[in-house]
Order: sequence, then C-alpha cells, then structure tokens
Amino acid sequence: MDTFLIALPLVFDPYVLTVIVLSGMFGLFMGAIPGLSATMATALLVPVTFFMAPVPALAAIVTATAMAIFAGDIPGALLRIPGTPASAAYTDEAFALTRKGKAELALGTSLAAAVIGGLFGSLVLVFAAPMLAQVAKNFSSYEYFWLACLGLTCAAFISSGDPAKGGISLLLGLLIATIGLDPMSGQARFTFGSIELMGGVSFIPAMIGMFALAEVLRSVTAVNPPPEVPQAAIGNIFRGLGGVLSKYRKNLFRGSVIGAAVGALPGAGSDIAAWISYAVSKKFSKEPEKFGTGHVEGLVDAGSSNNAALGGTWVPALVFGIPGDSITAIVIGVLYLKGMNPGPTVFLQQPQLIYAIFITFFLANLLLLPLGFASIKASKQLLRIHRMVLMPVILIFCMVGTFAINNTVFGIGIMLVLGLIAYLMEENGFPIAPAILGLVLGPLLEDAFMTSMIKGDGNLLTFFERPIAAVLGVVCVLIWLSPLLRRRRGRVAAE
Amino acid sequence: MKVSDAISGAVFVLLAAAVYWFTKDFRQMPGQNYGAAFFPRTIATCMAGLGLLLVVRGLRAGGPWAASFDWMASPRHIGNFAIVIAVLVAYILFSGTIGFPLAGFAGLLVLILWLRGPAHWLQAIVVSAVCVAGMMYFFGEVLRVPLPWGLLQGVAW
Repeated sequence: MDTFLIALPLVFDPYVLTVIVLSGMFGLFMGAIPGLSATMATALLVPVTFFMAPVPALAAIVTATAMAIFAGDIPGALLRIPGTPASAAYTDEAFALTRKGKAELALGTSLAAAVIGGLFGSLVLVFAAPMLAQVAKNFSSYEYFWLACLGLTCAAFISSGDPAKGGISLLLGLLIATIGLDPMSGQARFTFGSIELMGGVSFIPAMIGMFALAEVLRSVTAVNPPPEVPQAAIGNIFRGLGGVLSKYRKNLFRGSVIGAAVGALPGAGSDIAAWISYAVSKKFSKEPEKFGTGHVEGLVDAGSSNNAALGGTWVPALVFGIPGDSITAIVIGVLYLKGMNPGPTVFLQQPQLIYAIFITFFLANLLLLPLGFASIKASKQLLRIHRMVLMPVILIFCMVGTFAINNTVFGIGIMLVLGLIAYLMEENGFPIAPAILGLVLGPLLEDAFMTSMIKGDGNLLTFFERPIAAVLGVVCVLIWLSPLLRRRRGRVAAE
Repeated sequence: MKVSDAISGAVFVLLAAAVYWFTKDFRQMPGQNYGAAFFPRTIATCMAGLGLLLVVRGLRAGGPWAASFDWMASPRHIGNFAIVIAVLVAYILFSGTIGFPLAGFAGLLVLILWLRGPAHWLQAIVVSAVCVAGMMYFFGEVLRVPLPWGLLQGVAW
C-alpha cells in the first residue's frame, strides 16, 4: 500500500498526464488507420520515449497500445479492413452490423468491451505479476535459459502457421543479436571491421526498420485502391448498449479471462486472443447461426479479449523478461534502456515504478472511453487522410527517430537493411515478430546459456538438474519435437 | 521476389555456412571448450537444419522457383518502391552535409509528389514544410537531438 501511495504522484504529475493524453491520441490515430498497427505505434514511440524518465516512457507505450488495439475496430466496422491485426477476428461481423445500419452499435460495443476487457487485464496484471515475481526470485541461470527458450519457441510456433519459417526468423534475430563485442570474451563478432557495429545492432533502429519501414514499403506497393470512406455521420454509439452489455455480461467476463490468459502465454498476444475468444463465443452461443450475419455477441467476447490480452502480455514481460508478443518485445527493450531490467528483482528494487505502470494501465483504459468516443466521432476525417501523404511523413519520422538514438546516420542504414530483409521475409511467409523477440532476448539467452555452461563445467545435463528448470526444459524439448511426433502419429494413423 | 521454399531454405543454409566460416578464428575462453563462436554456431546449426527442411519441402512441393511480386507488373509501383529506398540512401549520404531541414524537406517533397501525384504540389509543399519544422522543433529543441543544420547553419535557432 505504501508503494502504491509513492507511485500515485509519479503518475498524477502534469507532465506524465500530458504524455498519457498525447500518446493516447497518437495510439488512436495509428490504430484507426489501416496498415498502421499497435506494434508500429510502439515502434515509432520508442525514439521519443528514449528521452523520457521511465514512468512517462512506459505510460506512453501502455496508453498508445491500449488505444491502438481498440481503434483498429473503427476501420474494421466502417471499411471492413482491420486497423490492427487484433481486430481481424471480428471485422466481418462488425462490418455486417454496419451494413445493417447498426455501425453505432458495433462501435459502441467494441468501445465498451475494450474498456471493460482492458480494466480486467490490468487487474490480472496487478495480481499475477507480483505473485509470479515471488516464485521467480529463486530462479537461476538454468531457469532463465529455459524460460527464454520457451518464450522464443512459443513465439516461433504460435506467430505463424509454419513453425519452420517462424524458427528461422527467430534464429535470424538471435544471430543479429550476436553482432558486436562478445561480453564474455571480448571477441568482435561479425563486425567486418566496422567500429559502429562493435556495439552491436541497436535494437531501436532494427525494430523501426522491421516493423515500420517494411510496412511503409508494403503500403506504397499495395495494388488495391484505397476503400471508399462512408459518407453517413456516426450517430449515438451508446444507444442500445446497456441492453447488449447486460445480455452478454457472461461473454464480457469470458472474453476478458481468455484474453488475459492468452496474453500471459509467451508468444501469444491480442490478435490470437481475439481469434480464440471469437471461436469460443460462437461455439458456446445459443444462436451460433447468427454469427457472421451482423451479430453483436462475438464482438463482445473478442472486443474485450484483445484489450484484456494487453495487460496479460505484460505479466511474463515484467516478471521474467519474456515477451508475450511483439509489443512487449519492444517494451522489454525499453525497460533495459531505462535501467529497469525486467525480472523479479525489479519488483524488489523499484516497486514504485512497477506500481506506476499498474496505475497507468487503469488510467489508460479509463481514458479510452472519452478518447475512443472522440475518435469514433472523428473517424470519417481520420479515414480520409491519404495513405500516400501519410507514408512519407512516417518514413521521415522513422529516419529522424532512428538518428536520434545514437546521433548517427549509421542507424538509418541498419533500419534500411533490416527493413528490406523484413519486407522480403514477410512476403515469403516468414513472420517478423520472432526475429524481434530473438534480437531482444538473444543477449539474455546467450548470457544464461554461457553462465550455466561454465557453472556446469560444460555438462549439458546440469540444465535439467533443478526441478523447475527440468520441467521447463522438458516442456521446451517436447514442443521442439512436437512437429516430428505429430508427423509420426499421422503416418501410423495412415497405415 | 517471391521464391520457393527450396530457394529461401538454401539461402539460410548458406547463411549458416557463412557463420561457421566467419567464426573459425574466434578465440576460445581459457580453460573452456567453448568461446565466442559457440553460441553463433549453435544458432547456425539449427538454422541449417531448418533451412534443409525448407529445401526438402520446397523440392517436394514443386512449383516455380521464383515469381515476381504482384506490384512488379506495374512500373508505377516499382517506382514507388524505388523512390522510398532512393530517398533513404540519399538522406544517409547527404543529410550530414546539407543538413536535416533541407534534406528532410527535399525527401518529403519528392516522396509526396511522386506517391500522391504532381497535381498535389501545394499539399506536398505545405505538408513537407510543416513536418520538417515540427520535427526540427520537437526533436531538435524539446528532445535536444543534434539534428544537423548543414547549409542552413547560419539561420539555426
């Protein structure tokens, strides 16, 4: 309670509150424009937060992402294009409602579900993270090694339908993380004589390249013409909302629980939570035949789920330094930059900062109501902004943001090279999120691995000697072997 | 360029081989059997394994080795792609000499004029000027990033 009281003024400070409101508006803008995702919003915010104290920096990211995840529903409902991948699961449903003349109900339900789901996710974060931190206090390098492996494995397996390509993307990220001076031996690795590469590939230019530049390239080469913006004004989004929320209160709760739980799994974030919740909603609905025809029930489940997942993803990120999704992968990078190395020790050493993050989560989700309402009202204007004007502005922002980190254009070169690689990879079916996770977790993984090897005198069996490490290790190895086991079972069944 | 899994797998097998080659002279840690090369080589081994899996899968699946992206049929879209890369490269090469205000403005102007069309020249000029001034103020003044003024050093605020 004392820590909570210390944390309160850290958040309720005019500067921090201004940052929260501005980043909220930024997040809504990014989410509402198709093609600009919550991850890209986070990536573009990072160079700005680089110059802030930890609390406003993290508050900006929390707020922007919460807003962006909701705002993705707006073009989903009005144009049938999800603003962010997290809205993709129920875009058809929301658009079907719009075609029935119920755009207000679709957007109102999305907003209310997002606020309630977001608050539930925040509650889960507040209770689960400190409890898990207690457990994690006893972890050694062996447990951390397996946890990092588990997080990376889940990311590679879950984020794409193709584990082999997810795995390669992850390994590429890990490989990029080894560039620079090896901290153990002082050996320069893959620097090719470049002094600038000695310090390694900076995470911010890499991330901006892979998420923002690749997206700009995709956008300027999109062959589909931009969709027509509907002319009708948005009416009262709260009409009939009370009835919907009351009728589907169980769905709200179920969506929030699924969202927070899925979010807390390493490698799974808001988009996967929304897909699962929508499927569960349909399966257990009394009127499954209405799904897809403009039925609000699935919207309640999935709309609350993707925002609840946001709080959930921060649990493994803060407690173990294991990202739940690509946004928290960026967050972990920011935490390291701010000297708040994620892990149980940050709960002991800087609890006021952790509580400040918790408070921000509640504040951001409450602020979603007025700001989200305003963005729905302004949606027609937002959607009219021309993509071919917006993309150049984003590109220049990426260049300046990248330059700002080390005050050198070398970072822009890194951004360009990795942006091109990411673009080519994604177009060939390789997911990018695992590469970013690999880049962020690479140093931790190598450090934990080498420390453990030195402790165990090179004996690999020591990785399985401690009980928790053994369980984590076995789970990890089983996941690695699962494609082989599945194939073998498939063959036996065929015979 | 969209390539078959066999080609992309082969690229990663080659990358793994390159990692082995470049790590051959890395120092061992005294008294240990592993050093700076151990972790990159472990990654490379896994990468080669998965790359080979893709090669086998791609060969079995058949189909064309490579195909161009949809947008490559349109010279307009090829131009769009090229102009983004060209502006980035030009910025890297010249921004230090001519400074951010001019390089940023020129880059934005060229991009908007090309992507949106020359008919929108007034919008391009206004957006470019406002954005560059805004970024100059926000990054240069508020965040104290030393954005180079270059040729405009004389009028720096």
